[in-house]
Amino acid sequence: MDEQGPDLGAIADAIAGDRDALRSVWRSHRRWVAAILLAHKSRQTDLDDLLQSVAVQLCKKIHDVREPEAFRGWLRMVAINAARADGRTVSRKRQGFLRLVGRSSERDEAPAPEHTARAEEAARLMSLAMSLPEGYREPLLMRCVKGMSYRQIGDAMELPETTIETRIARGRRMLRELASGEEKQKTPAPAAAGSV
Amino acid sequence: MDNRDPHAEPHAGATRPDPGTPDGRDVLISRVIDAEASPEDWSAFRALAESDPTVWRDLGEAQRQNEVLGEAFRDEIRVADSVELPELIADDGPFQRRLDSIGRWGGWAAAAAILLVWTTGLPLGSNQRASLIPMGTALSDATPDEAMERYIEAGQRAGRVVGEVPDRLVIETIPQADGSIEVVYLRQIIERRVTDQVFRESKTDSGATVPVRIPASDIQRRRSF
Repeated sequence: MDEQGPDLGAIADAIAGDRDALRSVWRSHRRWVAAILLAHKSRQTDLDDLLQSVAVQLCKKIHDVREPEAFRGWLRMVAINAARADGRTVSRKRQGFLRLVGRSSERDEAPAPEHTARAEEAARLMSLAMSLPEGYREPLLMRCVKGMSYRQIGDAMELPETTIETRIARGRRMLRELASGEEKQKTPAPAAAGSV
Repeated sequence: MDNRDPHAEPHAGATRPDPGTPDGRDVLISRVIDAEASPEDWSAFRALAESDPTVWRDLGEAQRQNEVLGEAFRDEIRVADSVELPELIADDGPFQRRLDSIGRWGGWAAAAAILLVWTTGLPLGSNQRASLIPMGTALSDATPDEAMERYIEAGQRAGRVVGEVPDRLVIETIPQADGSIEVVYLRQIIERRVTDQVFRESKTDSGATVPVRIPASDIQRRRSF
């Protein structure tokens, strides 16, 4: 999605059945959809499965959108419903997968995750962000989509721009406090004076 | 003359956050991070910092976290760039009903495979493929189909190949200028292997995927599908 927002003409064409326009609209919105899914999905559910589910719903139901201006709010609800439906079947399937690791020559197939300190911190912060209340988590993650303005986030969430700005600001403070709390828990308490 | 709609919702940058309140302080920090701070916001920020120097520390920490979170987020959603719309969705009723029937599965590739079966009247992976390969042809001279056929036959003899899934999953369809359609699809060969190590994917509290070894004594006979 560019800074000017989606092309309402393209959205209107997509609603009218123009497949090239629909493809273009999807490509300009799929990262944004991913942010919404990320904010609402369970940890075990695969993002790509949910994205495919939303893509199918977009093709099937876009004709239901009455006017282009309502498209983003509609697409957000499609994404939220997909995330909440949870893909439990998919998760159960994945949990059933077994990864085989052979002997000797197949050894290089064994997964060996390596985490740098930065990557670990990134994972920790993402985890903390996911623990924020939903009303703060979603706009904070949407803000991470490159070029997405407060106004565009507000349009999608059907909230005033000023509310979005305040929620993002509060969300960032909550994140700082959560991270700071974790750090304090990690740091061992100093020994009491005079103790042996 | 001011032509602004007096009832319009003010845009975020037009409001003046009160640095004396927690929300106002947070909004100022947030605007600086997002490069949305106006000269007036900067003045308010500096004035706040004179009485509360910790605001600089909070700004630095918030800025750093924003960068790290942004990187993590972009890594998480990178998969979105590879998810395209299902190309073969048609407006006809029968396909729509089939699509509905697999809607719970959540993956469009299966829908495309179903459609491909209808289009051709025969699953691409069915056993009706030409199976007579001239014996004695060197592998280097074999066509891709012949080479695959040999691999499957040799694999079955060695006990390695169990079989081939008859349905092929369509990944992409590309209409060509001459009216034909290029179909990119996935063939699935089922193999078996005896191993002494089995791992299960598990999620840590932070959501990272890690392998967890399963003791051989815990393995029971099971199928994934």
